[in-house]
Amino acid sequence: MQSSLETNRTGRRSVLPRDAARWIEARPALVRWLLAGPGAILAALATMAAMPLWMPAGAAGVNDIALPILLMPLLWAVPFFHAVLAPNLVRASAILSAVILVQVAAVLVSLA
Amino acid sequence: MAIGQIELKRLTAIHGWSAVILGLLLYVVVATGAVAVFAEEIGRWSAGGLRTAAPLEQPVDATLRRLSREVEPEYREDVAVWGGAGRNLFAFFHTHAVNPDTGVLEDKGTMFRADSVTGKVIDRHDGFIWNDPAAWDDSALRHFLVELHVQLYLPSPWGLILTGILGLTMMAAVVSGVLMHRHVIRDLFVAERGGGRLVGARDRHALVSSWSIPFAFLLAFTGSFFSLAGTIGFPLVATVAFSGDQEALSATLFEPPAPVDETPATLANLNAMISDSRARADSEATYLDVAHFGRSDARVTVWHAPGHGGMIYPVNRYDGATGVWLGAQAPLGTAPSLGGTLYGLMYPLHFGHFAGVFSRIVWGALGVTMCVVILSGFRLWVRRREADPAWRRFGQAVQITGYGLPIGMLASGYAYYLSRPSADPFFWTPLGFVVGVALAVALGLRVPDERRYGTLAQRLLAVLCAGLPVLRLATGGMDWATALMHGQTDIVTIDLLLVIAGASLWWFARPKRPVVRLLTEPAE
Repeated sequence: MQSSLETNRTGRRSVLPRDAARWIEARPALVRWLLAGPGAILAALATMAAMPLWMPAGAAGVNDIALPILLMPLLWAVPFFHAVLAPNLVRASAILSAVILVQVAAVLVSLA
Repeated sequence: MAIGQIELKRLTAIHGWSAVILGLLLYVVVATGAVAVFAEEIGRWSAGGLRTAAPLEQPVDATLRRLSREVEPEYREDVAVWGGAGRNLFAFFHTHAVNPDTGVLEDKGTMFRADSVTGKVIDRHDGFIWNDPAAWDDSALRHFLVELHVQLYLPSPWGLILTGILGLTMMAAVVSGVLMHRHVIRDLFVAERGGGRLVGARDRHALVSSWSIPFAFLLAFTGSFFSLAGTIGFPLVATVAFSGDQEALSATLFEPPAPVDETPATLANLNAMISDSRARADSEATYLDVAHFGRSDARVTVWHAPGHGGMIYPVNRYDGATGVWLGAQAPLGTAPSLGGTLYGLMYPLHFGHFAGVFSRIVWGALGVTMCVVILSGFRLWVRRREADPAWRRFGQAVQITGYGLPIGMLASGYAYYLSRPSADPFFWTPLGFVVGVALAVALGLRVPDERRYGTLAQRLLAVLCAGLPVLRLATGGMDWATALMHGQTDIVTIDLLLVIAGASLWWFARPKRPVVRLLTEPAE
């Protein structure tokens, strides 16, 4: 695959491999559906699961386990509206994928 | 953030289609929620007997000690105590065990319903009692209406997941609506253009929506939290942070650690602890928990309604063996925290009982406003597509649902009062709802004309509203003179509200001059 720093059709540097960026740009409606639908749900679940690993517990020692549950609706709404409104789908895909993959990896490592 | 035309189209599509797909179910949740705000009053109106004080305001110590001697010793691990309608006091002595029917760890024990004044046991249930609402709820009508709101009367966890999704949908609709309307402040004061035009329908929707934005967001957020926390949040966080042990997660959040000491010790006087807690909280006790009843490490926790000027439930903890106050308990954990504050705000903000009956009236009214938002949105959607027969039929389905839900809820009330004397109201009340809804649907199929159906449905609602207090009295309910003499004004208030609603609906259903529509406009 080509370097991730190739420019895409909009003239900006793509953060994804060129083939992936082209695939995304060729199917904007499908990609936006995927990001706003299962993508937002996965991002919310991944963030909720990983927050106990990176959120400070606070003086009472509960913020890291309480806030993921309390903020659940926002954890879904933010990636959802980002997917809906993002002008650059390649960048939005990269961000959402990174959020999901990094956090899922962290959870899997902690469970191992 | 500037919203371009393309983004605006996308937001409009999300706003509209999410409502079309899930809006009718959301209407059920919101409408039953507006009613559920008054669950306590409905409980007293439907099942309450004569009482001079709330059950936990009565001395409960002697009753609970006597009941503790009538249960299996292991059930004294945890005792939950709360007041029901009338003088009913519920006391649940329990431990935790795996239910062989479900394979899940559940509460197992003995549930007593006792008279809070005399201490006499009225009812007793043993085993895994949460699956039997008759064991722990004294009003089948309140139970049904609340369950319809909380999980659409579907089995757990699917009903909760569905209402959680509906909460997220409502949040998406609110945010997309705010982003779509560039002039939210102006829309607060928009006057509906008359003549039955399409712009008038848009004005109405924009007006009611704009006023309910903060409330709608708040209720959507807190509602989806309540539905999804137990079904998804808890298990997921427990898996990562506690190796799947939800009990350990729950203990960390809600049960401050106490040194274990299984040495038998007589429990200190509960009446004194409740009285002390009431003085500290400056409000009446609503719930009591005794952990390790009869042991040296017993802990008594007392919950209260929000005090004057406060929003969060005051909670006090006591050493059960000595009666010494151990301090105010934080909503979560052992000390104040951001998580604890947010959690503590979830309940009062969702239920609207942070300022007594006044805040609940406001919450109920805003709930009704939300129903107008949903129905006016549907109306706007259908009006824009009224050339298409399929959308006209959808419009008819919306109208039938709009009237059918309150007809069903009132019918459930009739079924409740008719079955209460000698049948099982927990069985007949939901069935009454189904009959009411079926009647509304049958009427809608028989009378397809929108205006005629609307008139008939309003008249049916009027008769059902006005007749329900009569049925309540006829089936042994408390009369007004007795209720007023003993300060139980909820009973009279609800009866009067039903009668006034009936009269108003009958008046609204009177023959009117047809609205002359001005020039038809192309759909925008």
